[in-house]
Amino acid sequence: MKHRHTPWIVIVLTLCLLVAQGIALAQSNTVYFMTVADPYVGAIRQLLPEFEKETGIKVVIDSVPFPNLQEKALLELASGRGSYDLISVDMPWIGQFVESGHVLDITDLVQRDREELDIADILPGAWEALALWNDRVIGLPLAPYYMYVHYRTDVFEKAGITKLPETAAEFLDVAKAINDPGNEFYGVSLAMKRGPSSITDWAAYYNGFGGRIFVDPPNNYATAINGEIGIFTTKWLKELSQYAPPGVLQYENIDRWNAFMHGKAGMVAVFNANSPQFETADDSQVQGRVGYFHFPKINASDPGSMPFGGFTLVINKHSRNVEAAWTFMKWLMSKEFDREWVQVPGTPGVPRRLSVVSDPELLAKYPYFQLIYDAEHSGLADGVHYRSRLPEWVQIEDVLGLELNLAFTGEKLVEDALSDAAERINEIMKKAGYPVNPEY
Amino acid sequence: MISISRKPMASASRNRELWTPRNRVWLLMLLPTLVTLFCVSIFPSLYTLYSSVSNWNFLKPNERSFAGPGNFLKLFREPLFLDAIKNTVTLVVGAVLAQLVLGFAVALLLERDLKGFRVIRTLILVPIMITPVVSALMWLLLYNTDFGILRYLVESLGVKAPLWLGDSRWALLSVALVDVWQWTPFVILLILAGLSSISKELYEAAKVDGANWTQTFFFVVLPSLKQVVLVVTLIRVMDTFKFFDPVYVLTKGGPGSSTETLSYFIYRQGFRYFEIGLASAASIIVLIIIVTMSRLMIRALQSSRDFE
Repeated sequence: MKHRHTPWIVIVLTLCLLVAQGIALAQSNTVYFMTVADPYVGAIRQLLPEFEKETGIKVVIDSVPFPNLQEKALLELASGRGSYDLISVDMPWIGQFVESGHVLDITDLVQRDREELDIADILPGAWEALALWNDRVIGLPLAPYYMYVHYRTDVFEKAGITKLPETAAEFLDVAKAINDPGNEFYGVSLAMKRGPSSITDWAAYYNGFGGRIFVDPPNNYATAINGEIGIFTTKWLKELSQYAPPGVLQYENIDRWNAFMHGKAGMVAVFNANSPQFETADDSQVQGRVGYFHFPKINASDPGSMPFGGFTLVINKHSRNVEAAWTFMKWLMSKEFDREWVQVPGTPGVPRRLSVVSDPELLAKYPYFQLIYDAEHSGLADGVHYRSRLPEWVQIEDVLGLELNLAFTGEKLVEDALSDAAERINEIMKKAGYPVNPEY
Repeated sequence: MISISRKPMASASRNRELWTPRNRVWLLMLLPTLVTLFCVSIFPSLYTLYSSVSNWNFLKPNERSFAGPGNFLKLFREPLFLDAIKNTVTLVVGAVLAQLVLGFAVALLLERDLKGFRVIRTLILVPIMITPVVSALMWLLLYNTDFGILRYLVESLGVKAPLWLGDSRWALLSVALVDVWQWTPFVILLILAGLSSISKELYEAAKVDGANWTQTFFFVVLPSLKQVVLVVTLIRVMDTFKFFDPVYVLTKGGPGSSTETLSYFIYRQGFRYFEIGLASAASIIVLIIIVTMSRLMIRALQSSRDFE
């Protein structure tokens, strides 16, 4: 008799605990942040105690390897649980994340704290590509990754190359001139494995040559990849791959910059997130011997371009902690933080502000800031057209990746591969309801 | 009339027996198992079936509609899906055959109780214990063209090493090799167990009849191990059909579509494009293929038992 009420007591206590836990979670001053495991996470972690001490907000960072981030983040958002308040989203996924309706529109918050954010000082290209979607603010540009060519100054000097290559033809000539397979040293390193890596490279050179993914958005979403510039880029890359390491067809992003960092290649185009690693990584064999220049153009008189990708920081629509998350975001975007995090040794962040990329002291330390400043200042930084941000991009990337790979391996003619890819991409766009007119 | 009236009576009495107070306790004790089975197996299967006839993209949860057989028809018009079927079947046949041949050879060798073989028998099991992703990452390093040991070994023989993962003539073979390396020990283990269960008298009888090693193998060992081989083949075929990790890590389905497998195709549809309807339809097709093959093999297994 004595134990008759025990089960009920246990049930009531458990329910009380669950309710208390729910209330605690809803009112907690802890921000949960899911991010890609890129070097900038190290910089945030190092500077975070300052923020936590100042505001009393605790930040839990969960860094996820890049290949798992997209599915983990989308499944988390779709669950509606709000377990993570903040999520870092890769630029090509922005449409997918925003259109699925799980990202908080922060236009009003930005408007409210406009002065504090000093948007005029944020790199304008980064703001356009990483913060805006259909004229609404959906996130803050956490880590814009600008892409340019890294080259070996000592190798260029030894080969007597005094003028940096500006056009596609000059780039090819330089790659040929410094190529020395007998000593396992190659002109250039590329990523040509099927998948997003090969698109990162192909789309960057294509963008540099003036290519665009779509003909005339928003009026015509037929793809332009099978046009003259697309065919030129693919044939040019095939030719260039003769002066690349023999395993380039199985190279991913990491292999291509490893080859450069380990002294196997004279040139590589990678994001600025990698630039500091060439100087500071323990296993780098190129320290103090790296220079930088913009992507080649078809003709010297063409305007050129600096493609960029990177990560935006969004608030989960189901977050129960929006104000705390917003406070943390503002801190991450502050001028002081930007200046500090680019200088964190080993795992530095990337610049997001004009005042930082034009700071003489920082410019002396990081000469490539000048390239970013020049491109942003002249409006040549291009994140929007480099790879599309539409929700359909993931499928487009796969289709294009497969066909380009067939062209690179020689299983298909370049023209056939691009025309097959274009046909499928146009189908995807039509099915998704975009206006598509391939006969432009 | 009598038989008709008896049947429901018998059934009713069986039902009464089933619900006696004593049986009720047993049935209640079975309930958690049945509920678990329903939650983790029956419900997901039925839900997959339901999803396979829906137009459903996970990113647009409110735009779900009935698709009928549309997803299935779409799959059979999709060249990459047909390539995935072809590659998976090639992989299953090639890898399982190689595992059986190698498994037999090594098991016959290890069956001899020579010095050091006991340690080797234990060490040989190590690949099975490694997570498939980790083993794939190890092979990624081995296949690396800059510092991979395979290139070094092949080129030290004076032969130019192929692009293991970058050449479509080699890629499928290279990913299959990972599966062979990882799962041959499993085959060895089961065949060793089978070998140890063969009566010594059978060997002696064969010896008395003047049978040589080959004759003993084909007329004594193989028939005795028929059931073990069928079970091993069944397990390996079912498992290899789900081949995913090495493709994901090593080739991403390339070069071209040369290593696109059914599992990788389903992963891309489900977790990259979030096309749940299409991914479910592809999963149902894989299920049908596996169930059909398993039924055929189980029937072969049963007939071999009946024959005995």
